Amino acid sequence: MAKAILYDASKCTACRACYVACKQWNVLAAAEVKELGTYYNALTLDGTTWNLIDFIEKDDPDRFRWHFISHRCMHCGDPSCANVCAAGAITKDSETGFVLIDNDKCLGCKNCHYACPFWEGVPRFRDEISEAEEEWMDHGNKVPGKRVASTMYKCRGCVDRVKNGLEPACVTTCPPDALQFGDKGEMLSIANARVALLKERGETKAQVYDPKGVGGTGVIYVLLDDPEVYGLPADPKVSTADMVTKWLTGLITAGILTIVPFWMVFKAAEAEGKGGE
Amino acid sequence: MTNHWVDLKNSDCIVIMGGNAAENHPMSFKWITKAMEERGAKLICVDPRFTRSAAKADIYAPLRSGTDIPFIMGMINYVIENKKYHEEYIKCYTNATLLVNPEFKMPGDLNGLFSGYDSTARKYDRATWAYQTEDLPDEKAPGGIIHSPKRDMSMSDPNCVWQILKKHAARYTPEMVEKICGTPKDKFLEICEEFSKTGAPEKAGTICYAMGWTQHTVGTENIRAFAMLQLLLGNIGRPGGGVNALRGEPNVQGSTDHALLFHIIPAYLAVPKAGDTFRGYADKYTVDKATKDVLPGSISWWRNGEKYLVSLLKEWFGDAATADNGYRFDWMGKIGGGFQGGGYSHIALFEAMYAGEIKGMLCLGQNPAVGGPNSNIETAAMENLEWLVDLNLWETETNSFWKRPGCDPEAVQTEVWRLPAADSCEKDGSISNSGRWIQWRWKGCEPLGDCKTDLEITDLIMKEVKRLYAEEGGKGAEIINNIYWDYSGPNGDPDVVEVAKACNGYTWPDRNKLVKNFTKLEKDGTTACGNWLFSGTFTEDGENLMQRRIPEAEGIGNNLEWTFAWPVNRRIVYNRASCDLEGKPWNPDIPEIWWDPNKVDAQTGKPGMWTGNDVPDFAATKAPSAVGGDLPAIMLNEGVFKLYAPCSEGPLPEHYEPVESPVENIMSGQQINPATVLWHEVNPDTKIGTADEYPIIGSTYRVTEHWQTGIMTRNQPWLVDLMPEMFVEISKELAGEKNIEPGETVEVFNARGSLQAVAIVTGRVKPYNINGKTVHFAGLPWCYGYAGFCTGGACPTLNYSANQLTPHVGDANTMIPEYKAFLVDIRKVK
Repeated sequence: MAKAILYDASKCTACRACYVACKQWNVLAAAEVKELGTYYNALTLDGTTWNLIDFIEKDDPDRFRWHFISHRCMHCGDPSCANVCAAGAITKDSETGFVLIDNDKCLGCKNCHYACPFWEGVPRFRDEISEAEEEWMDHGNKVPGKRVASTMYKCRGCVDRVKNGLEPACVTTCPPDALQFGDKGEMLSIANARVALLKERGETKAQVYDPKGVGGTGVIYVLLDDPEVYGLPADPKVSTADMVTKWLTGLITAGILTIVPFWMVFKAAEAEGKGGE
Repeated sequence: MTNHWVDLKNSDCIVIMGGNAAENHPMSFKWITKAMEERGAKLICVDPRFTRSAAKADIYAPLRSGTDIPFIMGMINYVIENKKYHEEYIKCYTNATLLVNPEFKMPGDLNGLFSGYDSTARKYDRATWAYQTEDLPDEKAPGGIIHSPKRDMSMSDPNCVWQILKKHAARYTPEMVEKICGTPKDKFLEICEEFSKTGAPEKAGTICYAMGWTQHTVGTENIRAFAMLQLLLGNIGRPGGGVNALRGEPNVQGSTDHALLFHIIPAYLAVPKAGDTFRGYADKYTVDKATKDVLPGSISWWRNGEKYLVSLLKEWFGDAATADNGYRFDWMGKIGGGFQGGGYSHIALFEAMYAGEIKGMLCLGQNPAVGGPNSNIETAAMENLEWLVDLNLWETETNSFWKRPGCDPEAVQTEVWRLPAADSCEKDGSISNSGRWIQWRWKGCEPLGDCKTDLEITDLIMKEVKRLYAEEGGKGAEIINNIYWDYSGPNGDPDVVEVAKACNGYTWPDRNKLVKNFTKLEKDGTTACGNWLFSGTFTEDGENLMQRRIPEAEGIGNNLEWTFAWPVNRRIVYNRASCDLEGKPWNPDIPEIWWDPNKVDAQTGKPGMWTGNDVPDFAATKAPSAVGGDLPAIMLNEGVFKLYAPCSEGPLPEHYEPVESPVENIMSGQQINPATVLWHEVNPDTKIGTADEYPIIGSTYRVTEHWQTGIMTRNQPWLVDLMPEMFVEISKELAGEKNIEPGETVEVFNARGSLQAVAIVTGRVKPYNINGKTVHFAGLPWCYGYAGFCTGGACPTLNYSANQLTPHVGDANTMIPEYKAFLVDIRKVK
């Protein structure tokens, strides 16, 4: 049965233990950031940052709000990234539903990045493997997944933990239980019950975010306001219609690809009957 | 905490004030969130700025830093005026009914002062604050007489505490609160209304506070004011209630329990003063606690203090301590007045060091060059040391004070030793959390290289000191030679289990039999115990109860088989007050304890015992109907909780402005706490600024991502990612006035120093309207410095520590520095 991570923005205190737990479990180097005058700083999702918390100040008429939201891979039911992957490196894990990148197959073309409708494109390119990771692996230690230079990276749902009976690292560490993990049906019913409770207590805009346009998501949000307030698309679609433009942009950026993957993409898209949505 | 972390889930209303639980105690939100979700508990947050705690709150109200007393006294006034109090509770369980000396005068009568003030000494003569007493016979009391406070159960006598409190609180109207605190009146009243709902007998509300209350010149009174409010609403001793200090370091409760403070010796016995004799000191417990201000039947547990003192002296001096020599009380260190009569607090010690009166410092578990107030003065003071021994994991600002910006290392003659210490994960031992749970932890890995545990280092130093005294003699050699010091384990190394057993206590002289708990400690020298509150952490058979990890299957969250909590595994203290006069829980849905008339006492065979979901905080077989069966405050002479309690600056909280304040005190002509030590009058280098020069309120705080002075976290790149640089949080309005852009580097400065910080311009900080005057706020994290992986900014010479700006002035009772309210100004860096 498909699994899901439930992130409840109404419970999150933005302590960011999820960020550190992810870095630790997945052996990911620190980012290089500068204080830019917000708590968010210059953090963005990147090859070594697979989740982060954004801070959003909003002056509602009745009260001042400080919203928190977890940026991370949504593990779509129908993942655009997998659909457009030139190398067939992105698959949905049949057991958990997590969307995984096989870094041995990945060509680093960034198609997936441009196709992703969330968080300005979740999969991010890494051109090198850090010394810290090399050193870690040189000592015979393992890292979750594989580390290959010039390929794409993102959240793997801690699939290795999950298959060994553990929760994803971020979920395990979350102090206020704003992150929960389980079968998707169960997570949805928890989310729906929570939203009903929030509405009853006056949070009129409380809602579950599990957008149908991408086949539902493996990361479900409980939100206190409209998705756009949090930087989420209200109605994301599987990325195909504008894919060519995006893909070409990616192609120029990457600057290394040939016609072959281009052909492969369209062949794959046609085969799956998703050419014209 | 009177209660504990898990118990937060039992609350109906949680106030976060003087603290920032979401950011600094993230785990508290596991239980707060549960209370909100499952019980519909309301969360109220009152803070000078909109914090991550405020983001989760149902109601947020701003208040100007340093004005908690008017806010809380205003709440007390609201509760009294609107009769929201729990009448039976205050009548029977508090000193509301007790009569005070008719000569007692209050700030309303004396322009901000209580009766008995000596303006030269800046101290009070407390004679007029005393209770009216009468002598009553009591066969258990030494001398057969107790001096008992007179009581008026109708609470109508003009000199009873209730009438005094009403009169005092009436001055704190909602309008006055708005003028002083800058809190909009409607928000204030909304909070009053919500929290006072917990005055209903079946409801309970709690307060989560931290350094936002303590770190003021009126810190003690801030906390006491809310304790009084909790008493009025009947919230003490109750599941979901209490007065809960969320402690900022995992073992700071343990450090207090073991007396890493100058006013106490282990387990909260008073520190002996110069001139004290064994008998005189012991009688302060044995006689005073049993006779002075004692209501009939009051348990007044401190009357046992002599047993704990003697057992402690036996642990310290072993066979050398005998009844004939007063158990070598004369060998104990004793305190005088301290430097310039200012005591032995952190500030006083550094003032003494600055004046050249302290030659050496052994520094462990802290980093005063970043954490201490007025750090430019304190690091300069360190230059007067002949030697500094510093135990730490890292190069810290303290052990590299001679490298600080602006210091010429060649001019510093101090000899500095750095002893590499082990991390908490690298050693076995107990830590005591805020809820008094003493939890054993096991070593996760061996310390790196030559790093040693604090115990090993202390043991090595002590053994070497003993060797030197034995071989060479010296002043006090007899004392050093006779200190009992054998905590070796099976392999000869110091063993933390042996230390823990010494804290539990055992019989003397055989040292073989662990005592069951502190009720078995004696004053005749037949027991030794290093800390009476830790007595009971082992069973008599040697089982270490601190290692238990059994979650409760059913119950109210007390988890009695999960580790051990002091005292005697009790989770909620003063829990007699969770029941009504007959011994039935005020809230039957969350029963803490109750009187069971049928339960048979195994020792006597008689029916009638206290029982329930916790260890009763009362004499187990003392019936509610017995004399004193309704006196729940077992640690106080009176047996009732104190709404009125003499402290340095008075027996009731009164508003005084911070020593550095942008406004005049509109409550009275007394601007600042009249009993605070004014160090700037002793040492002119310890400067105090004025609002004309520095009009903005500065305040310091922690962030989730860094811990204390940042030594552990600034060397951790993942955490540095999250909070990379020194910042200052200011309002959009102030940024506009000063032409400051978000993310721009600005200079924050005052009479004591200057630092650079990145401006966070935010809607979470708003200017206050203080009695018609616009007052701005600048919030500064205090976790950055000049040593380590991350120093806090692009330029380590300009932006290192918020404490360069904080003043050398402290609370009148505890002397904790006023880190939370001082004056600064801000300008753009060009």
